[in-house]
Amino acid sequence: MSVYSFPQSTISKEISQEFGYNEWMVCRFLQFVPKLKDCLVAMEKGLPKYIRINTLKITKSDLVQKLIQKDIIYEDTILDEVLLIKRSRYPIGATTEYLLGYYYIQDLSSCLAVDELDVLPNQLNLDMASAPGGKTTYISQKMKNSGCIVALEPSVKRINALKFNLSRCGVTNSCIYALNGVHVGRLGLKFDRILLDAPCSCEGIIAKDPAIKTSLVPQKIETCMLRQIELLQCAIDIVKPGGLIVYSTCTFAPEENEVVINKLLSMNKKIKIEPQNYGEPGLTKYGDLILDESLVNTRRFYPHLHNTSGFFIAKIRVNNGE
Amino acid sequence: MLKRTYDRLGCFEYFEGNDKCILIKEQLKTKVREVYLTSESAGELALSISPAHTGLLIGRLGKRLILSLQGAEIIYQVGRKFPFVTVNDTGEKLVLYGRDVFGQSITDASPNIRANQNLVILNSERETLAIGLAKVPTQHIFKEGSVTVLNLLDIGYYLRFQAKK
Repeated sequence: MSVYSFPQSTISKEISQEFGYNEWMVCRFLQFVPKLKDCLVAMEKGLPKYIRINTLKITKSDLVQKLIQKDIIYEDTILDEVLLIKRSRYPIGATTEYLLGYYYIQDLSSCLAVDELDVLPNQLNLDMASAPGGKTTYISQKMKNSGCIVALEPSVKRINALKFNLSRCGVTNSCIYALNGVHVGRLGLKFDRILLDAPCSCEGIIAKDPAIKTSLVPQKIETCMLRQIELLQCAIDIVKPGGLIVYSTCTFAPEENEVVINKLLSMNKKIKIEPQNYGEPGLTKYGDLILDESLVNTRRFYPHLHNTSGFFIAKIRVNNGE
Repeated sequence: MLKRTYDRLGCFEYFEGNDKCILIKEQLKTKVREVYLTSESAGELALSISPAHTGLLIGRLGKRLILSLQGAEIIYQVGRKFPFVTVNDTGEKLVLYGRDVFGQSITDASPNIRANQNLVILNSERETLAIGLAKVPTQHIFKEGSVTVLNLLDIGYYLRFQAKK
């Protein structure tokens, strides 16, 4: 499998010049990003700010009261615990409420990935790439601090950030292992739910890191894709029968999204893709590739359509053998 | 010793309650014994496969239990027997910048604070901002122009540390 390239055109040249992207990226985006110009304009504006209320420490009504006292203007979103911050006189990452762990600054799309995981209390769950801990703390919150959430993070430096966030949010049901996700089998555990927010080429967060516009190379997408396939296969091997895996990335690249899932579907007869509540349907055709029809159940999120970072979510059910 | 400490601080029932587990882990290099609060399942897993970290660090065990910030927060909220001072908005801002507490910032205090005693520093909403050390007993703690409580560790520490790096 290699990374697709598409022919240049007057439009691709014009757009790449206007927004400062590598032209090869624009040629690709034109194939699968709806209303591309609108999308790039939205990314130029920067990401919207969302906070996720940490109900392990505070109720929504109490936090909302505090936000109002601080003149922070917010809007509700499709998720009850997530608020869109419209205006704030203070940086929302430096308030007392933030430091007390009453909320976590987290994009709506990331929260949706956890929401799709259908987490329940008392489960044994896994976050395969957990630092800095946004999704891990949300999983813990949904588990009501019961059961156990295993968090993997190979980098000691990133474990410190993870520990800080877990402590700040009052998480008591976590076990952190300094382990790369591909070695998770060494733990000898089977999990009810697994979140794989896979390392990716990050095209969807160019608003946060504009250097990606010119620094990304096709080889990076290919490297990510191979690692993602390996990680997802590891996840499939260690989920309990009937269990659920949510695979997500913050990139638009189909090679790291639908193509990865398609490959895993061909390798594993016991998995199926479940439908989701929000987002645009995933691709079932890409270049000359015809993908599994069930990929329509995966979901894509775009800045201009969903007011989130660019994101992809697949919800994978592992059959219980019946 | 831990159970005696919980009892003294009025939080025995909380820590001995269902689905909670206390783990004591000795650090290999320093021989320091760290006390963690975990869920029952996380505690069981940590005992069978040693993790890099589990649950919430409550404190460190020596001749007595030295509470962490999270430990002090829980113990104050649960037991309400842990000594405290409450600071006004100006005091809150200063504490979150890592500063010590002047007497004039303190609006309330436990009646029984002794000099050199650990306490929690709370804001006007009684939320835990820091662990402090009283320099003076309660009757002198409001003294204007003097630092009467030292800020040992506050909730803004990690972000300041990251910003410096």
